Amino acid sequence: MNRYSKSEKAQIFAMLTPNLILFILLSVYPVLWCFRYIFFQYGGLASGEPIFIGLDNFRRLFTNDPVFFKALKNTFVYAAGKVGLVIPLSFFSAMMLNRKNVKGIGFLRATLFMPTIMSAAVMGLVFYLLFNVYNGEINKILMSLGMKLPVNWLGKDKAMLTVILIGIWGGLGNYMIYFLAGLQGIPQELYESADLDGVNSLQRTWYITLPMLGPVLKMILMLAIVIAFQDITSIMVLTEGGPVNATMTIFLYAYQFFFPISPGSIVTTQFGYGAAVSLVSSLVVGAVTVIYLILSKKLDNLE
Amino acid sequence: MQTKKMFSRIPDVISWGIILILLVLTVYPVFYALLGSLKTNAELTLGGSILPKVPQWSNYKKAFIDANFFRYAINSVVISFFTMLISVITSSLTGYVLARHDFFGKKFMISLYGAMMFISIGSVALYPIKLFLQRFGLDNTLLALVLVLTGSQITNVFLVMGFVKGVPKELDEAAKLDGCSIFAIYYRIILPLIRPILGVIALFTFRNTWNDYITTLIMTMSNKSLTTLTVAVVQLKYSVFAAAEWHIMLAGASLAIIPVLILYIFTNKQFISGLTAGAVKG
Amino acid sequence: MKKSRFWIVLIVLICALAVAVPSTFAEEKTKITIWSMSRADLTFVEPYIKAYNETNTDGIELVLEIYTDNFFQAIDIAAATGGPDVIDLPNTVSVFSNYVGQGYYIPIDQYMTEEDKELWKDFRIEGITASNGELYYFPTVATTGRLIYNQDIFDRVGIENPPTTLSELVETARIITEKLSGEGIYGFAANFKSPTSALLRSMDFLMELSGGPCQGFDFAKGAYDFAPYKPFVEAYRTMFTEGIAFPGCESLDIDPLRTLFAAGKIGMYISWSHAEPGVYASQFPTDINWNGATVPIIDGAEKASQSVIGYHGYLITRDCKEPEKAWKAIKEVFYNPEYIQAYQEAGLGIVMNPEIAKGAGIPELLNGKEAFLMGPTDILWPAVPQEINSQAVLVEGENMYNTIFALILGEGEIESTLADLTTRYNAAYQKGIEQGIGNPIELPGFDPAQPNK
Repeated sequence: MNRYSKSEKAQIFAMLTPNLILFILLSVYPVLWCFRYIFFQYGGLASGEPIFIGLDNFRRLFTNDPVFFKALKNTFVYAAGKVGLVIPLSFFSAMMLNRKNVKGIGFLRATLFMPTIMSAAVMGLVFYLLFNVYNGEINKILMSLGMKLPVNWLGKDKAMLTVILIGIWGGLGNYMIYFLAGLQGIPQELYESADLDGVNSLQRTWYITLPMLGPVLKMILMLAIVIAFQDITSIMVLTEGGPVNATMTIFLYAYQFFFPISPGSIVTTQFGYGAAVSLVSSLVVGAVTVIYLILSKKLDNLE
Repeated sequence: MQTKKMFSRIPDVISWGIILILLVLTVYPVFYALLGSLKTNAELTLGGSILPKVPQWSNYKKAFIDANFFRYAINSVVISFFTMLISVITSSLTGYVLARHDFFGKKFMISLYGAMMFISIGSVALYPIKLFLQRFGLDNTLLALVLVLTGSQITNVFLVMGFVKGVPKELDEAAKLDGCSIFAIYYRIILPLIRPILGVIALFTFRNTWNDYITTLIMTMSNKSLTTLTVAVVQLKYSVFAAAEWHIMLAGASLAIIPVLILYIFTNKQFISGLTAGAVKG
Repeated sequence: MKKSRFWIVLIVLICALAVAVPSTFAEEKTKITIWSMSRADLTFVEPYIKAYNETNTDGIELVLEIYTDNFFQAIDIAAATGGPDVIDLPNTVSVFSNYVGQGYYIPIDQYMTEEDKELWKDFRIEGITASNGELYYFPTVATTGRLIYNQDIFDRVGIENPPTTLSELVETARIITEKLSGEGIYGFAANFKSPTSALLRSMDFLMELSGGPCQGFDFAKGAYDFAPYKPFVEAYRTMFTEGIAFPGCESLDIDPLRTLFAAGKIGMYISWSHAEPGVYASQFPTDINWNGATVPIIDGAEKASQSVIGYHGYLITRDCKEPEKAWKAIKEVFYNPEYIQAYQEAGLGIVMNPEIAKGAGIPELLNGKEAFLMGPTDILWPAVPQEINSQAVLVEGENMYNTIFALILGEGEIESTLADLTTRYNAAYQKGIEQGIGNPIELPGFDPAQPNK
């Protein structure tokens, strides 16, 4: 172990330090802070000193907080809706654009990928104008096509759908590129031998592409699920979790106990309770990831 | 045979039709923002033509002057640049050391980094960070904002680590025999060789910082003069502009979009390949 | 080589920018920083500040910083770790009451002259402007809620007077919507994008004027009681579930609502009395004929009084290094009777101090709109527990405004939901008292018609 000289040890230490400080301060410390405050009732200066209340925050969360459970349900609906639509769509796009030496294919890819480079917040603002009930461009187009009443895109019944659509808009290109990378890793010989057997394109996809894509697909799905659970920026800008919490998700719900979602919102800051909510939220994501990993392993074993 | 071929074309036509629809839907919101930024408010709210009748360049002038966007644009450039620079430096230093050298607690460090990738308490983490910075009087400074935006770089550290592992170890050893110090090996040998991945990290960090909303919003809450374009644009939604001046809002949105769009036009290949490099290696 | 030169130049340039960004101004004078939430009157206020900065002989420079967003959050953080010298109190008393107990504000009795004390003698109200007998500020202007209506629409459908009761409100709205919705005109609207913001400016006043509880709190009982809200919820539920109200109110903010009203698309809505006249004069100029009226009350209720909310009060914080100079400056500028009178005359607000109001002219834009002035039923009410300290009433689950808004949209059964709300608020209130964060409030014999007695 002692093959480094003192000066070398110093160098190693010095080179690690900048990142290590950032890591401890910006990743580890906040989590520990949260862990401490889950046992307290504390809301900032106005609440006085933090009051130790044991597990009362969890009692409240699990027995007396319908909003959290609504947010939990919404989070699953959002994730299922977004992932369920964006994965097939992006897979389809990747299949279509997985061609070499076709003119313009690069341009098509780059265009579909473009939303990925846009700010979710700024585009949330643009979508807010587009989906506006009264003056929005989308309703105007629909009404000119013969729709009688404007669609209440941001109302309590449709807001979740709108938010999912925007989530898909922002994610499609991303997953398409992942799929493309996966597709390009499939040996071409497999297709060639299949062609000799006179296999049609659907069969090709089903018997060759999908099985060969298995590991990549698994990774993409997991990425998509985890990201969908934590998407809050566009929801925050577009609907602020409303109306009547129709688009409130768990991470946004935790956020509002610390910071106001919008200037008008008056939620009393509750750091202890908010810490409990965010901890449970991160456990939910962790649990979903683990369940997903176990399930996908089981599937492997079946085959 | 001929008819069969025609018949088998139909799914093709439908498929390309779907791609076409996806393309239009992808591009539409961006075009709406860019073209809308040149319309009058009446054109926007009453609807009608796709193109502005007479391009209203004054919208931009108004956004720059009335909404103080010039200042925010400079902030965006400065903050994104420094965040990019510090990200590349810190992640490459750590990634290199982790890939090449042994030290006490290295295994622990790597597993802790890996674990933190999966523990996400979301933006809630910004509260303790802000409190901490305030205790030391560091909040409301450019440096603090840049460092918080840089973050702990976990994914990038692992990216660099994977990339450095791909560099033949003989190169290091030869340099060491020549009397190079550890830092010199990093600087002279490794850095030039891992330039592609550093470029990817730089590009993605720049984009993330430029586009960031929540972190910048919270970190600049009590010091508006540090705010970036993205935050300022979104905040327009809560101002009087939201009601009657959509054209100014879209001019603001376009100001935030255009620079990344231009960057993207020149670097889309790197963006796309960078994404897969990250996905496969990370 | 050339490449690296390019990078060096770029880095130097950006560094130079970075240095230039924070250090734009050099400091010489005693800077008094004021945080304010009020952007609407900025063009009026700025010249006064400029004039004061140029003419005062004490070397004081007033710096006004506007926080339209995150104001409350910024104050909370500032109170904990340092912030401005002076805070311009918005129409939310919690900015004062939440932090005064922590010693964040400096009492002003020590600086006031006898004349000052005489002029503001009616403004020492425990929990609102004073704490433990010490005075901290006085509100200069006041606001309350009014029904805003479009006279042209009323004329077209043959309605003579604005509604005075909830059932009249619903009927009037129904008539307008039935006759004119084909043109995109609807009877009623509310800015339910933020239910709190919408109901705070309408429901609270309506309930008070009907003799009901104040923000859910019954002063006579010393407890929360939401049962009286039932008629209100029913009336609003009718309007918002039967297609009477403007479509899309769930995502409507106040300013878009105002532009729609200015465009003649909305028959009625309820909003702040201080804001609307100015809004339609300058922000969203309109040709329509519009006016204001007292908010309607619950059918069969006896008209009591509605609370008046004072704002534009100036709180000196403990971060102020020279509080005496700060007091001097705010007295000279913002507490100056001439300034306050001019403020009213500019149509920006209604003077609160009756002594100063005597000398204030009625602004031109309130001609024929006298309903926006303070009337006999507009009275200062005592503060309810959650106003005094929101941390003392930590309600588990949804707050009253969001709960009631969900009811209005037709979600849930009204009576049981309101009963549950009562239980949750009282539990939170009691808990706050037990923990020593809040204090019990009970005013036996409280009369909503004379809340200040």
